[in-house]
Amino acid sequence: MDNVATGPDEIRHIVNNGAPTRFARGWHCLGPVQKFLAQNPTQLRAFGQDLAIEVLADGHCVASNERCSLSLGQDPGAQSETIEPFCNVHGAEHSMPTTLAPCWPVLQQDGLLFIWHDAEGAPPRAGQSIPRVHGTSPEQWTDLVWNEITLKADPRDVVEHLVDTATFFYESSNRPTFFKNVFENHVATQYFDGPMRREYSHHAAEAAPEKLIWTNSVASYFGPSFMIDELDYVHDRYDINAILVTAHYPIDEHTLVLFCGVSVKHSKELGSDPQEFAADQSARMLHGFGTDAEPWQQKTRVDNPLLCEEDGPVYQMRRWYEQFFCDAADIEPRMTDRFEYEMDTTMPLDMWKRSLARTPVSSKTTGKQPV
Amino acid sequence: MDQQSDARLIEIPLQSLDCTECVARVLVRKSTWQQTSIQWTEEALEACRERPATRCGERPKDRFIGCESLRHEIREATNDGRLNVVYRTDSETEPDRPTVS
Repeated sequence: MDNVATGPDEIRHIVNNGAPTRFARGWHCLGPVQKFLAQNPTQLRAFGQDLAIEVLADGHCVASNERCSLSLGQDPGAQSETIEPFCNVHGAEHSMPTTLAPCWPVLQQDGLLFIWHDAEGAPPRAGQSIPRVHGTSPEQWTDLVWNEITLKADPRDVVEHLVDTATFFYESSNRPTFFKNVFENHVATQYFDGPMRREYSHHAAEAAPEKLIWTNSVASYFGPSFMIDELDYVHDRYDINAILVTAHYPIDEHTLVLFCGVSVKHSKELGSDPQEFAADQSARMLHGFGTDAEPWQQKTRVDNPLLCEEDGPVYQMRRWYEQFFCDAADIEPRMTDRFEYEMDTTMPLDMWKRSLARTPVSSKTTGKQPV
Repeated sequence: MDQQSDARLIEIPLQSLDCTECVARVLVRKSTWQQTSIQWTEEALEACRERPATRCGERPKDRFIGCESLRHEIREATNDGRLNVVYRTDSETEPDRPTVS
């Protein structure tokens, strides 16, 4: 490759392959269903198209293109034959007038509306559903407090936050004791264990006697745009369990809508109102993204970044991300095979030298005893 | 593509390593004592004995974080020099120059 400098005297040129020619395949969250009830039907622009979202009387949402005659209150047209067989609302259970334009596959859960985008028009891929935000016990959690902003940004920049170890080293002035990324199939995960990340700081902690000392975070992108982050804020006297949702959908090639949702687990130790705490965190997270977004607006696309050893697995993350932009038939193992990047500073360097043959190995699964 | 463009991997590529607990063969790279990259293949994942025995779920915290047996073998291989460490140094403050193998 002539664009890669292989020697110290060669000049390295920036490679810009241009933005992808299609939008990502996968489930994209459009926001809370409640939002669409407020102005029903709702028109919005997404994936470079005009969409109409309608909440039906039974609470089901329908997402269709602008030419959906029913949603727009127009005279029913002659598009009855265009309903796609995978329309999970109209196709299956409703005896609605068959006047709707092709419906987008819709998923409604946790009060959120998702639509499946695929440039090839195929139905949702098996095994790529979105997990429930609160797992099996939603009653133990506050509602998701939801915020959104519209940004001029490349979705890839948003997603790459997941591998951005430099943020911790240089912007937050602290280092995780444990940081790990795992990419496998359509899921990308970040493990973070360490001092509090600045953007997550609990405003009350500064004044209150409770000191926030540690964060444990496991965050996964399920597909190209929906991330669930399970967060434990460890205080000196109690823990706060929170769930952070980060999601986005593209409006067009240059603009996207970014969401932050925060939910907090009810706890008697939590002095402040959990719902208020969640609202505060949600606003703070979004503000953090707003700060990040400033450089994004000026950023030149660089497809061959020069990285130092301390940088995260940017190339591997992009390789994983490629699977959402190619034809399904062209997805390659290199995009979906499991890759792990781990940084573990909990073991002092001198321990390394003495650790040979003395490292405890988990015996719970293999039965192997520490040697 | 990523291997060709990532200067880090051009200088010091990933190395093959066999797990001692199963027949999984993976590619490993360590940039420092603390940093490890592991590239699995489908065959290696199928060979892993630890993963099927671990209770896993779909949500972030329930996902399989990694194989402890492989982690142990990587540590051993690093200690006895079978695995290169790009910055193989005693001190974090005075890194050696990377040695290309």
